[in-house]
Amino acid sequence: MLTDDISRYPEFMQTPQGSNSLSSSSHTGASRRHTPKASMGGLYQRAIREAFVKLNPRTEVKNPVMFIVWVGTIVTFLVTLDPNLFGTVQADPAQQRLLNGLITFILFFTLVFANFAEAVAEGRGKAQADALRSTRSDTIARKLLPNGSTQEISSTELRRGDQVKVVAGDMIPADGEVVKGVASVDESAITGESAPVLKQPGTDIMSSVTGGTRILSDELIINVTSDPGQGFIDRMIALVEGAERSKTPNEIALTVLLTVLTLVFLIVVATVSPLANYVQAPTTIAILISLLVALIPTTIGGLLSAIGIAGMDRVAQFNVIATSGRAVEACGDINTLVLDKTGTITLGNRLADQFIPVNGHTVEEVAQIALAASVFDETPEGKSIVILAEKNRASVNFKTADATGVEFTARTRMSGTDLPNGKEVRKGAVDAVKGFVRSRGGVVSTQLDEAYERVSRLGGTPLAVCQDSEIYGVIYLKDIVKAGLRERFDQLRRMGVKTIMLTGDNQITASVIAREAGVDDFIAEATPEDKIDVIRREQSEGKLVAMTGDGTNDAPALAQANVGVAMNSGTQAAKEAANMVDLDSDPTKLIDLVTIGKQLLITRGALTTFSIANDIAKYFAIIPTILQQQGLVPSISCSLKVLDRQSFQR
Amino acid sequence: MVLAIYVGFIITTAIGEYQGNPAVNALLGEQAPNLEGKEVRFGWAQSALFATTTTGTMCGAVNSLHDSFMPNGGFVTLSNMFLQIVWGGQGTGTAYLFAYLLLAVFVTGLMVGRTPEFLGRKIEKREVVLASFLILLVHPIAILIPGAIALAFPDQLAGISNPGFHGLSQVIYEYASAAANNGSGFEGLGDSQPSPLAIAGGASSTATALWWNLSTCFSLLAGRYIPITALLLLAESMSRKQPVPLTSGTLRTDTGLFTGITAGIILVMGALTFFPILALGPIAEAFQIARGLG
Repeated sequence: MLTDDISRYPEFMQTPQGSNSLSSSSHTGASRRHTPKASMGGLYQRAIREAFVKLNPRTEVKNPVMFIVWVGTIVTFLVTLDPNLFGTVQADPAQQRLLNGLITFILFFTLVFANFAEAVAEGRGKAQADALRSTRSDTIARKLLPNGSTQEISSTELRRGDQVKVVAGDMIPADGEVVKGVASVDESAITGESAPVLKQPGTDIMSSVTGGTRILSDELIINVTSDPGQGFIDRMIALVEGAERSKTPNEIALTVLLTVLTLVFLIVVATVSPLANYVQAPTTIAILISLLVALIPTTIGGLLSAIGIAGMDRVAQFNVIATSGRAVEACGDINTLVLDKTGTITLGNRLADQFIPVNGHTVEEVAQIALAASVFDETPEGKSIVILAEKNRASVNFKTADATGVEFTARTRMSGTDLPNGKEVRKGAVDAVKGFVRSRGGVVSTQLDEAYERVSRLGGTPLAVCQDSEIYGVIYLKDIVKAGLRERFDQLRRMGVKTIMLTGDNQITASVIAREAGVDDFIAEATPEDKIDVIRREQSEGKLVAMTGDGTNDAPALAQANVGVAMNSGTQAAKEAANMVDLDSDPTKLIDLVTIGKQLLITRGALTTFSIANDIAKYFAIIPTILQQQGLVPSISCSLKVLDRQSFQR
Repeated sequence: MVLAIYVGFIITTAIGEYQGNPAVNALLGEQAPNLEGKEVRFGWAQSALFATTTTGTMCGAVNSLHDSFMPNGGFVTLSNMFLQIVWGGQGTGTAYLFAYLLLAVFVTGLMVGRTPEFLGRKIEKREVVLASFLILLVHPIAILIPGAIALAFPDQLAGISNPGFHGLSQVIYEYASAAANNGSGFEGLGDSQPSPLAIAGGASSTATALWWNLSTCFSLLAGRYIPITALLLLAESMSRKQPVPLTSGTLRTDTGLFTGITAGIILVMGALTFFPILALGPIAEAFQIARGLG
């Protein structure tokens, strides 16, 4: 049963030892790596220049609302040159010209400002692309030459089909496939799981390695599968720069509404002229145009595209790259979040919580052995064991210089110390330790299995501790739920978003973590296929689903989900299937994205409402002016006086 | 909400009628309700009630001459037909109200940060196109454009019996009544054949009758069938959508707040379109009478 567990759930294959992990997920949480910001100095100058370039009618016509303003500007400009162009005006021509000139200036400013807002938003995107480009780091790769020798070259010189050799401690220079060797690789940058994963030739997820991950033990020969410049980030840069933005469904709907409103007001204003003429209150063309521009929703019309671009930019500031604005917007509509447990809900690292002695040993003895086995272990798990052991009054009673540390390897799945007195202390996955003990002629008691089950029931990971053929006890490694997550889930619930946790853990463990984290639902003993099933089930109820993923086997689920967020250092397949890529590989960001998506819609809605509601005020400012020309309403206050007098008389 | 608008409209009309025409009152030397053009059995109050109801419901029957109402009455009857939602009309019922609701949901839905949904169905481009384009836009086209043409050539085409602001109301009322599927008349126009004015005016009046028959025909067809077709398409597309589950984040459409917002949307999108007309027609007329120019 245990071996079955291990082969099915990668989580159990990890033991916390030996991983010289450089960037565990606890790191990513604490010090979020922000892409270096390109200088924003030239941004505004460029935007101002762009604002005028965009006055080109071919650009303006794409936005019907602003195009009307554009046409209006031209007309008012013409009547500034010659006030009598469209019929004689009674007013003093000089005065009329001044008025028309003012209107022209205001309209022109409206146009330029709308363009400026858009240009600034676009400029930020471009700056982001520049920043992205600078993040691509060059590493030194050992290229394997046909004669078997190696040559050190820059990783940017690697081509598809090249073979490189990586040894423990190296950064893997490019995406590729393992052709030879077995090694453990720290993929915490991809997966958020701090424990190393086993890489060996043959299988899909087991054999593919990703550029930027670090090999921890042994060595590998890798066949490079991507050319430099063809990577995901490179394509992203092209996308951000190209600013080929397709409008989102909501944006289209809103544009339609705005266009209709503009048309309605166009008809209204056009018909006002003959109507006003009929009642001997003629209006000038400049007044009509200013009435029209005041009424049509220019506020939202001018800023609509800027809002869309700004949405992408907001996401980019969170170090997430969205392939389309549509994806960002969809974030705001998400009903269900599917989250992996490890790295998302819990910290990737488990910390030692308790020693459980077996076979009649005391807690102190277990602490002593555990400490001896962990002195050379630099992982957070190992350190936490040392701390816990010292709390239990254990101390190192041998010279560490004379002892030898036994590093964790993917094959043995244990680590430990060979003591100066010849004894061997080990800690590791329970069945691995069992095998070690048996090979030293020891027997395995049922007490160990009881302890193992007890720890599992509590939602923890058990590590067995032994010295030579004697098993001393079990270390209870507890999954630590990330701080503040419960509040965020509560917040999401209030927004109407349901959270589902997926984990390879068994039912009991999963339920413990789920309760602690406050997720709405969980799926235990989940296989990658379960992920896509969950998403399909939710979608069949008409819900929009967001998920995060990294592995190749996540790709179908990422494609199926309405919003799929791939981790930056995930496999190519995952990144291609997703519609967003998180450069920090921090899965909790999905929660931030939901907020951004909502804010994007809210901004648009608020501006629309403001723009339309404003019309009421504008009407009551402009219509009396028209009436006033007729001499009917000399001024509001006067007419009020008239009314007052009348009601007074009654 | 509709009831509130309705009651408000009745009160506005009734006050106007109750106060009577100051010019007439000045002659009479006493305060009297306006009874011109009314059946005395009904009196001012019932006439006001009936006028408001008949224009609101697209009924079209009249028990008094709307032409003779005070400007308040003209304002209300016109507004009713511009909005078409104060109870909704015969045949189309509350359909227009749904179109406004849809737009209200769209705008407010954006403000709560979700893709707007109405009755559990997402509102997307198609719905907005149908609701706004065909319903919001057709009405002004059917009323304002022929109205403007008629008023551009008042003598040749319109045959208005009361020049000035009231004449403007007469013309617009005619088209509003046609487009809003109402059929009542403000009257006072040379629009019948043989026209009453034809007896006095001769050939030109026959021309006005022809113009009226043709142009209102256009308004009637456009104002009636385009929105009805659009509404059917809208219903069809809504019925095909997969319902979205109700979550706590969904915008509730059964609250007082939402009702208020819908009223605001109706005011802005529906009423403001016609506000210049109302300003130049009944409102200007009201000022005129108030200042004793009428």
